[in-house]
Amino acid sequence: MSAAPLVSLRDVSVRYGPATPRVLGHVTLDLMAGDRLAVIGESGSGKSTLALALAGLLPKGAAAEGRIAWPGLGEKPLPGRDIGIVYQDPSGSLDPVMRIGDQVAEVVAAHAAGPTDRSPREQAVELLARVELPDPANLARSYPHQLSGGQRQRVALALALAGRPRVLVADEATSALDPVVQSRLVGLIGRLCDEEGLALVFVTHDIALAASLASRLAVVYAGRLVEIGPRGRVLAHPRHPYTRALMAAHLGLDRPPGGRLATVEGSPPDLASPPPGCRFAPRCSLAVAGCTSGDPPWYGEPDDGAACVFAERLAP
Amino acid sequence: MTAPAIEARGLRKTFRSGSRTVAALDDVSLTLAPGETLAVVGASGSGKTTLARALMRLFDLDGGSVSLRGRDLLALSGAALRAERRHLQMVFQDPAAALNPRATIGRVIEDPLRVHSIVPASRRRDAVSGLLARVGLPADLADRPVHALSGGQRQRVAIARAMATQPAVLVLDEPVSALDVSVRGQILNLLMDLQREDGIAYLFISHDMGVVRAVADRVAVMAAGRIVEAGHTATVFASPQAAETRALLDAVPHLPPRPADEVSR
Repeated sequence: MSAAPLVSLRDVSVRYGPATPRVLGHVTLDLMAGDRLAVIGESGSGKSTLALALAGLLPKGAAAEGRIAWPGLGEKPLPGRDIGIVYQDPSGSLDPVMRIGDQVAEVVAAHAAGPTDRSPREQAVELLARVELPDPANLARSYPHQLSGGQRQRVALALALAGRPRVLVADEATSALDPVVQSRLVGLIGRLCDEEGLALVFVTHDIALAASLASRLAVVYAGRLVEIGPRGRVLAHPRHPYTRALMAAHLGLDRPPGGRLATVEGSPPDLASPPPGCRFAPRCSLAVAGCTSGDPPWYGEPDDGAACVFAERLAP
Repeated sequence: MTAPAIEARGLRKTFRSGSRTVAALDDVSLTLAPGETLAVVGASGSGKTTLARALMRLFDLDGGSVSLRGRDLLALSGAALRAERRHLQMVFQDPAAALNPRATIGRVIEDPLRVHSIVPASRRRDAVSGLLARVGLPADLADRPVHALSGGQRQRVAIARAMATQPAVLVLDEPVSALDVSVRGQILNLLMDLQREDGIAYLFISHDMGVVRAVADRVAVMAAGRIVEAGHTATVFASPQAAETRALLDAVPHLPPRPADEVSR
């Protein structure tokens, strides 16, 4: 690798309190400049914790082991300036009694790198235009409740971009939106990352949505990174049975209609008492006795491989 | 031809917000045969959930008629309406919000059996066990609280509760969109099994065209309170006519065909 990664995780584990279970275990991951990384997982998989760890936003009570560094940024990121983050629910990021334009201008002013010839307010209107909101000068005078859910999420995106970050983290940022609005927002995120040269961390439960935007896919299950690799390799030759299960569960328009749907038995484990060995083993159709006796070995490279004893045989 | 399980004609509902009026339902008609699944799809605000709530009589309509198993539902009130309600049940998107988290699972499923006098008190526990078995849950779950369940298990309980009154029609409002992807298929398969066994008609509210294609016999697409396109699922998906239908289809992310699931041992 030539340049230093923007974010580097080495064997990172996270728990949210002394007596609480680990929500993330032994994750090694680099985020490079210009990367478009999707983190794919279900509820309780640790995908949001992974996103917070990458962004340097783990809450005060959280205990992280391993090493989290931001070599490409030079120092621990200043939240909002170096790494912008958009959450699933934009109302958490927006002040309900403050005009949209003032909120964006406030962030612009807080992170201003030096004097410019344009006021924070003018820059705020430009940001609202960049996230493709209609009539931004007028919309800047609105309050959050006057906007639709999709528009509010665009404002949250403008807020995330206001500090001119190098990395954008979108944590299920499009999941609460209806599909048409979601697909437009995903398209916008992709264009903004290209135009601004932003690295993207796109956290989602939807592997097909991830594949439509990301160049690298990371799959997490029950607090473990189970597979990571370039999009083309992962989709053509998934090496972890869970990745395969997620792909089989996708209900696309090219699937023949009717008939029974592919299922994975059971549900994701309770992290307070995870199953021994591979955490997917109880639901895995390939599992053998050895799968429950110890952590599965990592097959492949750190940035292109899977944690499964069958990974080699699943490889092309 | 058998009588429709439910039939709605010319449903109208206008909501007022200050000086603004919004036609939430604008001349909506539909027919659902026993054992059939009709998906109602549309973007947020298209009126699909309002339609579901109108059929459940959760508010009064401004116009139109609804007949359930041939009986005029809107003409009923009081005890007659309550009695007829057992034939029309609903499952909501978020089972965590729809079920009392502190109630036991047995209690949640027993309530409709008691309210509608479906089975005498002495046989209710067996009936609850039977319903749990039908939705793929062990009978010993009956004494556990709702909050101890996973999302998928909770939705199974919500389905068992809705099935308890042996309804003719089940309104399913986004029943799998709050569930994990790996659990979604189980619930959809369960719903299809129950339908095949009992001949229940499903009105399946969704905005996910992939799910709709997998489960629905027919589709009605809503926009701005109107049905803008309706037809057999295969036809609508193969040649969508309305712009709203095409937008919904275009929004489904595409995943390359999956590889074979087999592995050499």
